[in-house]
Amino acid sequence: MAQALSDLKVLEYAQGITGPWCGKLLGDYGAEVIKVEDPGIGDKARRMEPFAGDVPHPERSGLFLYLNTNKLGVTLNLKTATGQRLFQELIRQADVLIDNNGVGAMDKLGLGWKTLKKVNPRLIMATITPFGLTGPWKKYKGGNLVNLHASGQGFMTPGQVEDPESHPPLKTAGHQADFMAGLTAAICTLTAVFASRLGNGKGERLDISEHEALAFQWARDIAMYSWDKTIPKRTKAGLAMTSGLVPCKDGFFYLHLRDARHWDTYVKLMGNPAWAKEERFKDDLSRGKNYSELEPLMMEWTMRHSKDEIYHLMQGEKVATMPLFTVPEVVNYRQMEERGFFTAIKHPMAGVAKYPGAPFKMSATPWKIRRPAPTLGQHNQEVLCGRLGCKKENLPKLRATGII
Amino acid sequence: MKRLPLEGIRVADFTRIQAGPQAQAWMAHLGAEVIRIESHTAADTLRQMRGAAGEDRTLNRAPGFYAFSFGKKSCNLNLRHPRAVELAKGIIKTCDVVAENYAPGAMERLGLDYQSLRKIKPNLIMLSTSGLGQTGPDAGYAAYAATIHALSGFSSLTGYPGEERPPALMAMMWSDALTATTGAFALLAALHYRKRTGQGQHIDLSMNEATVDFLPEPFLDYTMNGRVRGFVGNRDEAAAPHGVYRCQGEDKWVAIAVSDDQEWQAFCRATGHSEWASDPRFADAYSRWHHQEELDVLVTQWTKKHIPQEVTEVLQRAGVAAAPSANIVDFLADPQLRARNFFMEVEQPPIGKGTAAVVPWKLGPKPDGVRKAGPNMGEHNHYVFHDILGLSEEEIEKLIKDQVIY
Amino acid sequence: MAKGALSGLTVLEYAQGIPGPYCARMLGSLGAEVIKVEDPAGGDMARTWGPFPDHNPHPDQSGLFIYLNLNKKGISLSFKTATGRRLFKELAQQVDFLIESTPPSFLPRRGLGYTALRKLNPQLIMTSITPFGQTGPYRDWKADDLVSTHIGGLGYAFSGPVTDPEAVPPLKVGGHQADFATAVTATIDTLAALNERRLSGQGSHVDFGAMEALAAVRKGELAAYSFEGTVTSRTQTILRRTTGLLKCRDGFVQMHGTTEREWQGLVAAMARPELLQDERFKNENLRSENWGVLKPIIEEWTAPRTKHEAARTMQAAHLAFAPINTPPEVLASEQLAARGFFVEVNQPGLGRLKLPGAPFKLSATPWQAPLPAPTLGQHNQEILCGRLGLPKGELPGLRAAGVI
Repeated sequence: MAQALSDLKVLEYAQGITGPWCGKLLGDYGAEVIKVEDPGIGDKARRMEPFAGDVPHPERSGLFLYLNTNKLGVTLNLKTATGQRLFQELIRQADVLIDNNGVGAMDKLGLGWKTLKKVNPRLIMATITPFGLTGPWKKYKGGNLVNLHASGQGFMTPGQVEDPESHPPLKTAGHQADFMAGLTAAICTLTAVFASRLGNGKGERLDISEHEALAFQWARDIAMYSWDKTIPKRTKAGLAMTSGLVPCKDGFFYLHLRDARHWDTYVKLMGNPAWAKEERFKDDLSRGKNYSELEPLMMEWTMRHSKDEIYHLMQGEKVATMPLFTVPEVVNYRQMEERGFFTAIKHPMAGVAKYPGAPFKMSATPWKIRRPAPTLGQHNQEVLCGRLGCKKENLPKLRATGII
Repeated sequence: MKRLPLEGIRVADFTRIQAGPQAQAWMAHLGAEVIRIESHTAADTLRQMRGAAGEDRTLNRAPGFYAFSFGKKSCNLNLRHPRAVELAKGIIKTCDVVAENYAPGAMERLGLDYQSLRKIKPNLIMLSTSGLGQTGPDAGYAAYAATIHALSGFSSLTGYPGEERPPALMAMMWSDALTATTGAFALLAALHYRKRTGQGQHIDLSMNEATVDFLPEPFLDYTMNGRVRGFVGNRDEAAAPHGVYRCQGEDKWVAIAVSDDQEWQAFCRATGHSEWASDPRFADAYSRWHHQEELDVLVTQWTKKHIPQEVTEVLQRAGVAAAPSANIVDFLADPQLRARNFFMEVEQPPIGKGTAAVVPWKLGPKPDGVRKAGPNMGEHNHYVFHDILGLSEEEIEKLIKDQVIY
Repeated sequence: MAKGALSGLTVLEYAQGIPGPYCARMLGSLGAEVIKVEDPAGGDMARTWGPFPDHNPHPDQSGLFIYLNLNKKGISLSFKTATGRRLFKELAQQVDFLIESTPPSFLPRRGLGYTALRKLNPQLIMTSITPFGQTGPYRDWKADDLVSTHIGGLGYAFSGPVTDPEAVPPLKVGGHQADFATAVTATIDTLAALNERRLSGQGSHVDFGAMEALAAVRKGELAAYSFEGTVTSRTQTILRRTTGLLKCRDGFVQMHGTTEREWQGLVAAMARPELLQDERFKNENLRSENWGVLKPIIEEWTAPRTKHEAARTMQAAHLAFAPINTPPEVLASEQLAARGFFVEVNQPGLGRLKLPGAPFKLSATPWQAPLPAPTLGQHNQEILCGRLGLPKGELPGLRAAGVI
């Protein structure tokens, strides 16, 4: 079956999460992605957790292996003249370059936009930086934690807490900021490809700021503050009880109550206990105010039921309640299994493992793992000899001189 | 003005709340004509949020709704009425994309599922967004961002180290945001393919799956090593100091991330604490990580004396990553976002002037996106039913009276 | 199975390239356990040197690296980090030998010099292999095989005698002879230090300079100069014997010298008795002077024969003739096969490799079939957890912090 982006040729000189996630999204939907790494140590994600079997090894980082499926891996030392020359040859054959090496990094190597657009006038160069290529913060360092908090997401996580002093603004799990920047870059890249093929075929430079990619997600807060002067609170006091996590027999479930009907349904499922009719629990606001008294009463019923039971009972009544799953529960969740979400991938060094799979399913042009992530320089011969016409016998020399 | 990339693309947008509308907001920013198809029988929850609008029942005063609808059009169709479904099909015939986020099965019951629609519009691209996907035993279950945070494992991993009770994660609709953004990517990929081959297709986007895709590390730690991770708070797996520190001012905080030994040395110099640099407990990243609680106490002693902006400036000048943990007020004053013209003033009838964000990138000399006002309920009924579908004024009048256009 | 001569002893190696690793390998092939420490960023530079299978460079597939590092356990430690240095110290406490080839000030500057390590482990034998030794005006100079070859005097006369010294510069011997000679000499010194430890119970620092080892190789010329004041010239015949390469049907044979007895044997083997009467070849000096005339006469005999035929016939007549073998011919040699010289190693990722084996045979403690060379950091868990008692869960953190 054809893939949506199989006519795109992408060159990726990027490491960590932002750029490689952009490259993976394009590659998993069909683009050919050639990943260029520095010889010797390669992408820094190779040094990030988790490692298969807890054995730290550049070919065993689960994060790296996840982020680099379907890519061809070559090594090039772009500080050398020959490395730069070979890179330019690759640029000549590419539609897209993904770069997240920092403001001015490519220029310093003599491979900045001004040079590359001459090498390939069709090139779309997507540069992802923490704060953008312009502005007073352009030289500021970022990264997942700093970008997440700078953009406001951290401040609103985890939401309302009892004591804001002991509960600082919180980072969400993993590297959400980095992933959002990479996804935004993928959108921007496809937009530019679309525009270029509609128009005169000329390439362009995409200046993608992680800060803005995150900030863009707060459209609603921006609007609500800007028109209504609504400032989201970090303290619980005085809020209505609409929804929340409730303890049950084997963990927690998320009780989502959009309106009075939902509360009535929930009360009915609990067997219409007498306390539910009391004045102190009569509406959202009262329930919020008296939540510390309400929770133990609800728990008389919830603690006798598992989160799975409550999940299916409530959903049967069209109430959007869901269990709080741990990671193993997600992996073994029947819905995910049925949809074949987790995908077993075999890698020569890391063995077989299940990886999170397609972010969406396309009926005509599927998501596909054509090959596992490359080992460092795995495709040097295929790319440098096959595409650029280097002689096979010269590869050891290129290695010994530190070029590949 | 040069044309926007998606000019000429028309979207029939049946989506509601955030995960769906936000994806179509991307499309509108990029130049597509997005027509929201709404009904008074089930108005978007976000339209019903009162805020400062009080009890105004016109559904046109909620800024939260406009946030995901700038530049879109709105027409009304009461899809419980068969005639309305026929009209919807008429609109879809003229569209390139249909987007919906009803519970799986709902569009089919209306006869508006992909298999039916492709018969009237063979190269149609349809994006169906749902909590758990279009297939599988639990496909029809109702979901919101907060419930998906729980179901996807995200809540079990986001929290304060040492605490047992997971936070509810209600204030940030992250799962909606990332699903919407993923949806925009999916549509662009499908449009790219259609331009090449003329073929449309159906996209099945699950919030739960898109959310897991953004969080592979703990899943791989489990599938590779059998480990179940807990809360790490603001900490990093290896770097320290790495956290959010209390500053001067009410509920003011700064995020600091020292990523290597060189930055640590710079950090000690910049804060005037050279004695920390020579402390063997903090000699390298590994030692610092093992002593991060002691370290955090020391760092806080310093940050507490300054406002977040001062800390940020001092540290960034020394080459250390730091930024205020911005609340909405700080955020709208952010000098970097201002300098890059990230915000744009919008005149939004009937609620007046306010601020909106433009697209999060700069695309050389071309226009980066549009920010026109969002639509009032049914504002474009005449455009849609008369200009596009060619109905007469009388017909439209009657359909409104019959609550078909409603 | 018999134990190796050095079994029970442990060698810690912090060396790269050839001299240090080959020295440690020799100790290893005598039965010592060798723990090789490499920098996590890329490891031993020999990993970048060919030959590589199918010319495809890969850090774990360098033939030279594999050869030099058979039988070793490999761990990675960054000396840039305090924790890396601490772990190294802990290892140094548990071993008998440390073989290192860093510049003289490198380890002392990091608190890992001999003075520091001796306090932790008084029995330690530390062999420092540097181009010029730990003291003297050249101690901080750099050198590689080429520079060592020439500064040690080995290169000056190597291509001689030559007719036109302007056109033919002093020549480096093929391969890395200076490095290997250095390694072997250093091994001897290290074993001498072991003997010393057995007598005194004390460890010692073996300060080994390659320049001295190589200067010793040229001891004939050194003696000639110091006793006679003779400077060996590149134009004069150094060896007053008939020596040279003779053309054969398929290459060359090397002929070495003709004493009176050998001359008679040569003439008989060629069936040219009349040469015995030739005044020009009456004695060894004359044959040497008239080598220009004699050589074509012998080649009349060798030219129609293969080099192996020629060598076999002349060896039967007790003349030192030897074919100039190409590497494939050496690999096919029946002599080496009969002595079981080449051994097969099962190298992960490469399969079975044929490699040169024991350079000598000990009757009581035979050389053992080698284990493969380690991949970078392959034995981190075995050594750091097994020997130093680190919990396994610490490894990913050490990796992420750049310690391993």
